[in-house]
Amino acid sequence: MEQKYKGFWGRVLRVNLSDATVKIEEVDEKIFRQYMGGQALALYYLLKELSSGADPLGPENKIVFATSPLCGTRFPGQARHTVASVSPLTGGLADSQAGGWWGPELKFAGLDAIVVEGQSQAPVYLNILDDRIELLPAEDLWGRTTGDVQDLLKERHSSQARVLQIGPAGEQQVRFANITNELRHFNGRGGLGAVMGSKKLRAIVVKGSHRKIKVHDPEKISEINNWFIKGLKEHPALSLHQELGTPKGVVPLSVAGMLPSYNFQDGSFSGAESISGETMNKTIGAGAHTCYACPVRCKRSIEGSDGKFKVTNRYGGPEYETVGLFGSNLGVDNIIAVGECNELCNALGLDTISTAGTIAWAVECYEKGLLTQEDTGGMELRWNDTAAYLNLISLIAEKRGFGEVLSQGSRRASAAIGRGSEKYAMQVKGQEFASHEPRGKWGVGLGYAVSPTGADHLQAAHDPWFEKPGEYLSDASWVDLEDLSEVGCIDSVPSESLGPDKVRLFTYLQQIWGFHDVLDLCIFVAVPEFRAISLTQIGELLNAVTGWRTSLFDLMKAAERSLTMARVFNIRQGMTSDDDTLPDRMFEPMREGTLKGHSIDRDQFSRALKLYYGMMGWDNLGIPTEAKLHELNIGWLVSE
Amino acid sequence: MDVRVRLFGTLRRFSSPGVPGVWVGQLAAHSTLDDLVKVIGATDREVLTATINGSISPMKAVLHDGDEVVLVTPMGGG
Repeated sequence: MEQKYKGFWGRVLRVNLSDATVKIEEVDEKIFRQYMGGQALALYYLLKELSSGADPLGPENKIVFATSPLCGTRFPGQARHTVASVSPLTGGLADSQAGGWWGPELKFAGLDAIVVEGQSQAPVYLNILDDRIELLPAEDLWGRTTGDVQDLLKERHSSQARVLQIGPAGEQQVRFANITNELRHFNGRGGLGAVMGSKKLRAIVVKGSHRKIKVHDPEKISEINNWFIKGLKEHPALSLHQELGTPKGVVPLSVAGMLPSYNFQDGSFSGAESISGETMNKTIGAGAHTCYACPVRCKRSIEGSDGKFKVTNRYGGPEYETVGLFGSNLGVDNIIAVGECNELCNALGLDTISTAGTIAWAVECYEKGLLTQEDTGGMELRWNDTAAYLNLISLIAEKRGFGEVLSQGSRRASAAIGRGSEKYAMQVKGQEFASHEPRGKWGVGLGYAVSPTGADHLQAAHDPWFEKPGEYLSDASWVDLEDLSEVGCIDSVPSESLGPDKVRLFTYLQQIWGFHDVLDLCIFVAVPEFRAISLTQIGELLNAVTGWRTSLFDLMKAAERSLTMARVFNIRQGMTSDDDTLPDRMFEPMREGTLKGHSIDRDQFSRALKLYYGMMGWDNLGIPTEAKLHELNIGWLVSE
Repeated sequence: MDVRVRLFGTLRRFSSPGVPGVWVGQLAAHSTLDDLVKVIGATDREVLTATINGSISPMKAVLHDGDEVVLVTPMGGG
């Protein structure tokens, strides 16, 4: 097999599960030049091929697995892939990126993307060994944990094969079931695991033999790589990230009043030290691991027991989001307890963010008398009760008892229960909040509101980095706001503000984050906070891989195009500007903590939404204008 | 006067030898948090929030012998 283009194959696998057929489609380079990969490439297929209002769990839905030209090259942070579909949780776009090992392996098998359509009658899995592609029966995998299935498939095919799969929760179509690869990396959000489950597709096993992706200028890639390695050594944020992983933020956020606690009632947590990255390292730390060809090694391994709770070194340690949501947001001050919740979710295939967020909603409602033992099947719900949470996780994955209610997510669960419980569901568009408190960083609130996938903390960099002027500490050291001078943002902006300067900053940051999702590039490589290479160098990297002449302008436009395509996708699915909102709690004073009494100004928030629409070239109702669609060269969306 | 400072985020790089995340040292009488940040070697732009003995404090706050200070930088998640 010959690689037709530098950095990619121009080959997409189409799998029809209804008639059990597979075929390779050749894709022109122009498609890759315009959409590049990841989120935008997936949206290209979804928008071209899905009808408006597609049922996420019906046979008409499709699910796309996409890489980018960077994936599989020898550069840090390139090992990510996107999965996108209609979300069973929100009804709009589900789009989630994961690192790990599966994306590069797909490239080594000679494929850039997979489009899966239809629905199988019986459980199946897809096995890809270069051009040998087959659908195989999966009855013997059904109902088993992700760990068991990974062992079985590797034994059956190759210990070197890479396994992407859903767990029992995906099989049961839990609306926030996730997809994992190699047990430690997750397309976590939006219920993509339920889409695979609805299609009875348990796993995609890949093993490729084309292990060296042909690139345009390997010397230039080495040069940028060397720059990155220098940054990795000198950059305090990256070395901290290596030492503690994402849980490094637990105590600082609590001190600053932005560690969600007790279902976002408080922002500081007395037990923060007990669930910190430092404590995790000391008590159950078992080293670090990483994604393909990435020297950052930010992933934690954990192992240990305190007699009551136990974690094994199988599924990786919890990320910050999981620590916050199974920790402080449920009042839990035991890192091993948090680790066990993380492990059980990963074994069953549940998104830890939505699982813990939905449980927190139930606990607060129970505390307030809105839920009773009649609703919960006799269970008492309390803060800091991990034994009960572990039971609930299993019930959710099996959709059994009260777990059936919770398996729908907090929006649907609260709508079913009523009694005013909707007020305590911390979600946007049906997707639960990540572990970030918008009342101390209002741009995060705007990001939660306008994110096409519902509440998402990775729409843009968070506000506090841009409160003070940036400065160069060294050629390869952190500079925050100074980083953004490449796109013309040079003024500092207060965290608790949503004026025009903040909306401008957010809009540009969202596009910077957005082109990372289009390129499937990890944000821990180049974004402000972790700047080890500049934004311009990302374009140079893409050019060194592909031979294109991409500029930072092109990358910003690619992100704007992708965000606009996502907007059109959601409009087709029936969403309106009314869905760009936040729960009332965000406009009410915080109960306790450093930011006690702080809230988002509702008027500023409303004005910010309109300003954001305007800056994006959307009308007052948030609908992209025909002119904007043409300007982004996606005029085909006007007529379709 | 003696001051003990707990450092979080990127400020950890200013830790005293052998005690990761902690700076211990002496400051002149009437020193402020601003002064402390300079002595440690950091710049105030790196500090998001500071506490003295558990209370949030402005950078102009004056330190006293035996105070325990916490300094944190902006933090994201992931």
